[in-house]
Amino acid sequence: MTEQRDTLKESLSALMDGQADELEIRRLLDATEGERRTDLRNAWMRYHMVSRSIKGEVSATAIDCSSAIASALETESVHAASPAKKIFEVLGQCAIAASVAMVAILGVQEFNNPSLELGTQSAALDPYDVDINTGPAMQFPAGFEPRIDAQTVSAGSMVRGSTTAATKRLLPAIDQQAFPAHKIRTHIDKMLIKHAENSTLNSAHGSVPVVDLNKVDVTPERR
Amino acid sequence: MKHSDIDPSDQQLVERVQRGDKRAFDLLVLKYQFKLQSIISRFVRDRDEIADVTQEAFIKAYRALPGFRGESQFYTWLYRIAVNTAKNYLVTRSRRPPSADIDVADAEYLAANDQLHDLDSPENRLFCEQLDGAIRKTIADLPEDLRTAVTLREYEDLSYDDIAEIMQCPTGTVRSRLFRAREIIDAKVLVLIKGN
Repeated sequence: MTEQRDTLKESLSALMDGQADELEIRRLLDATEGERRTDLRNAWMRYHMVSRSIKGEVSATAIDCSSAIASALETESVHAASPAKKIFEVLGQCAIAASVAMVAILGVQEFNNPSLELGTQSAALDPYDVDINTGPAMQFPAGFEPRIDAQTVSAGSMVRGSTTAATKRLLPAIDQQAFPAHKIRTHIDKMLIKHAENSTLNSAHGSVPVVDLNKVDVTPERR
Repeated sequence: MKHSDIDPSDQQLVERVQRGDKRAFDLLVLKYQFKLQSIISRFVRDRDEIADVTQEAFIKAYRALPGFRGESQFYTWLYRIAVNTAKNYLVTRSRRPPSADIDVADAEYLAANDQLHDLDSPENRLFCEQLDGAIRKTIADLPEDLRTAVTLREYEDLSYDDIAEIMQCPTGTVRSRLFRAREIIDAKVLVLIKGN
């Protein structure tokens, strides 16, 4: 009997220091409802009183109103997280984790597979397609045909001043390099636009001919 | 629940209450009721009123406990509830609450050291002094292993693992030494309480 009492009080001492395990706490709480209720509650209270006294926190205003509080709380509902709320919380966490994982996988795939991007972009944007050059910012002089090879950085597989036919033959080789055709095309476009802007600032007429849209028939040429 | 620096003992009990074990709240009440009364006594002076406000504060705390996320110490959270309850109590009785809030640490210090406290009768002050003296003497008379354990825990606030490392013994031994030390001190305190 005394041994059981000591075991419970040792658990009480451990709980005071946050060192009691779940099973011990459950046994203690069960015991605080049983015949040892007063004994254990008073011991718990005194242990804390000693601890506060050691820390210099004891004051004389000590009115034990724990029984009144316990009686008042009897009518209060028990706290418990509802199962539905828990399920929603778990589902929400799963959804976030899945989204992050999907973004990570897609990102890694995109990062590790530049050829896929090259192929797709090359197929979608043919630098020799006239239709893509019909926008207002893409007006070029008639017969203007950019020389892709002129901007290629990697000179190993390129021949400067090659003909259009030779360039077309080299296209697959360009696609395999670090600068896909559409990027080169974009770069040239930017250069030309910048050049035209600068020229108009420096002179009445830019070096790139300016097309007067009022005088030119802009109906797309039918093939 | 996030737990920053929450007292591990409070954390265990709070989690149990949040999971639906109302009995754990009783241990929190027993632990903190006197500290809370010290704070409340800064606002209301009558003993019955202190008891009423303390009770109301604990009931409000119990109702609000599902929302406690452990971002602050449980006692700090409880303290705010107690101060608000005391202020509301004064307002409802058309009495003016103190103009400025009291900091938690200051309030504890004042409550523990205010010699002019209305409720602090000479008898009570004498009891506190006797209690303090008895505890210190008992600790000084403890066997060395128990004294070291209780000193490192209560004065230095070290964890069981740290104490075990310093005393070069298993954690279980620290636990039993602390229990034995507390039992010896408790026996002296009990005699003192019965004598008063």
